[in-house]
Amino acid sequence: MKIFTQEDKMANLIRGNYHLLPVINRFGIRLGFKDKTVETLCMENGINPNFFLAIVNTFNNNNYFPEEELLSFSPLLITDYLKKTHRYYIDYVLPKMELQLRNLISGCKSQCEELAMIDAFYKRYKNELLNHIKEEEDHVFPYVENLILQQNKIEKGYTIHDYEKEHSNVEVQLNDLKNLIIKYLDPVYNDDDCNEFLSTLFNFERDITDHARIEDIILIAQVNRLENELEK
Amino acid sequence: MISKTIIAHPSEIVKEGLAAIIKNSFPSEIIRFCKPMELPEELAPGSKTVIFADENVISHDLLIEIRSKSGNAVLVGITSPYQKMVNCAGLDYCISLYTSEKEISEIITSCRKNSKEQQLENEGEELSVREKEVLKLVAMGNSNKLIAEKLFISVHTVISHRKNITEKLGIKSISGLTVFAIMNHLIDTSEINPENLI
Repeated sequence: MKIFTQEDKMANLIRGNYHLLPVINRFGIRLGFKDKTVETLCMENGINPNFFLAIVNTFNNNNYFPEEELLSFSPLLITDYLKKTHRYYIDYVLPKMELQLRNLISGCKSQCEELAMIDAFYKRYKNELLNHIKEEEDHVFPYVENLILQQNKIEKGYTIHDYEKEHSNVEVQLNDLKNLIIKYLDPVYNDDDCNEFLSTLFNFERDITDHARIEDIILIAQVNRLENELEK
Repeated sequence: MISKTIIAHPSEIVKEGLAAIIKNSFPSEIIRFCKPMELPEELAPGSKTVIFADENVISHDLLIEIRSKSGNAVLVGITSPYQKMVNCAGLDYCISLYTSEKEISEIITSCRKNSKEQQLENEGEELSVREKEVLKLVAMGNSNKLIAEKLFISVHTVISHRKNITEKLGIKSISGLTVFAIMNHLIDTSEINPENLI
């Protein structure tokens, strides 16, 4: 699979994998960039091109995960990217899923109890996800930022260990939601509406799995390292 | 769930060498080093972790702790060249310092392949009567301990049933299983409001 480089035209990145569209937006890159290369656009937008490519290639290719390189970037770059991703989920993806789910439910003529279950399950998933994101933005990210910027203002007794365990459950529920709809839900709905909802789910899952990978493997490792250094 | 490989061996040379060999064939494989005692902590139930450990440090007790923490972990013992007898009991594979790169990557490939392929194979099998009983109790919010008591089986057996149920259905979370149970009328919803369960 292709690994993008600085010489590649941004247009080719998008034409190669349009799922990268929200990813480049998170860096502030917007369309209409003619034939400019990654290098040029990064320079024009004040973006670290190596970081940009590491994120883009990791997202594009599941088997590509340059752990050492990702660990070398400042945790602040990472938290900034993660925060922008959260905004994308909260401001765009979740509302979209809810709208599509509402359409699905309103299109059901009879025997809609199962759909009501799916709705309840989705609401539960959404709450857990929002809580998880809030926990990250209220505690984890500020903790990381403090470790780097103001090394004396650290919340006593808090370590990154507390946060590590929470991640998997949220991903598992998303996968369950998919399987419940694909395999077990009686099709009492409009097919196109359901396909639209599923399509959003699949795309979201892809994005958030990549997101979790960066949080779990890179951010936590960087923090562990910083915590250890501070102890000395 | 992030699958990873853990290397627990006192020698720097062995650790780094093994990690380099693994990264050669699996560039995206997550590799962690840890001390043998820390192994149970590093395991997440459900994800398939491959553990390479100095065979000498896997005591019987540690082995039990590891297996009960994660039934999915694959244990590869690294035998030392000075041992006359190879004691591979209780471990899934055994390698020596002279095992080839090819063999090592075959071990990892088969571990990774097994989890995905097996999942797809097992999916679709009908739930047994027993499994339906366990599923019902799980969906009602009972703990493993309580389920074990109600069905007169061990907690270990309950966990085993739950694993099989998840593999057959492709559903892992308790609320997901609850939705499934309700959809398939395994739970009587005339008495309880289903939305409260989820």
